[in-house]
Amino acid sequence: MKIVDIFAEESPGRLFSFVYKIEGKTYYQINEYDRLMELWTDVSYLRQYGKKNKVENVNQFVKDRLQDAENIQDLLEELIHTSKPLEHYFQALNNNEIGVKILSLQKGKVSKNDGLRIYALKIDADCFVITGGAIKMSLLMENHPDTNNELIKIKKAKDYLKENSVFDSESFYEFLIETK
Amino acid sequence: MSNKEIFKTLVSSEKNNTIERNRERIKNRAYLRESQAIAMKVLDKLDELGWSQVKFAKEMCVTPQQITKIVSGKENLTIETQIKIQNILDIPILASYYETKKDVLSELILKTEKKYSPFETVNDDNLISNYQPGKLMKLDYNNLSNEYTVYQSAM
Repeated sequence: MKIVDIFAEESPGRLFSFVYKIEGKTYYQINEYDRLMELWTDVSYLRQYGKKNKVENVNQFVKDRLQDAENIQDLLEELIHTSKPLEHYFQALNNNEIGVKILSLQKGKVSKNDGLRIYALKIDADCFVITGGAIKMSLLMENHPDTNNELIKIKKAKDYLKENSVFDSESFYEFLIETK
Repeated sequence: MSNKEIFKTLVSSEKNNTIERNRERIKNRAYLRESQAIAMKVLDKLDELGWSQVKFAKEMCVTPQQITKIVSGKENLTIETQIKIQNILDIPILASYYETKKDVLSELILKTEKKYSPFETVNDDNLISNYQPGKLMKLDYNNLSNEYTVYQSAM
């Protein structure tokens, strides 16, 4: 896996994205944000997804997700130009998370009714790296194979950063307590 | 080194055009929405007809890859393609669809009116002689019963 700065051209050092290799291949796919946006604006993909997940009104589901994708596009554009921090979009994945936690698992959500989720790790204030994303189909991530897979991806990404010495402050403090 | 600084050492220096792509999507939103609506109509109709996208490609005389693009709702479709889709699937895409239907309907109405026109058999000269009186009725409202009382004239 590799990481690219997706705001590099106009607002560098704030929003990054992981880029993964295609399974069984040696080459990389496009970065996660672009990959997700390609899927979430594809009528045929959304329709098949709705049918596969036994959505009652497939056409309404498609329309709603297309609207959600437009909302994310607009917010991203807004975040590039305004002084609003990325925390305006990302929030802790764990609703009970308190205090500052480096490498905290995050979810991007435009509104309460947003049916699309972008997952990220928080590196610092106003600094995030996208690990993936999914269409929200269940309350808990573990209850749907796609969101569950994203949970695995975000944890792998976190391990990758830790292996490369990007500390998780919580484990660092735990380490300090243990060595006292 | 701070966490952020360490993190930045892991970031690839390769360029990406995410912002540009995002901006293109916003700029092209009007046509993309139309294209998405067409894709939904096409997929609905294919389901209704039980056609595969390969069969539709054959009917359209295009490659299946072109159909994949059409049903993704991301294509800036030419008018020629829109007309082809409209004619082959008989779904409304362009305004001409309704205009053609309207013309056919108007023609049908005209024919019907012509056939059953009451004025056709009545000439000004024999208007009175051909006059056929109908039944005369008077409706009076009854405040007590809250009903109308019907008075019929004798024929």
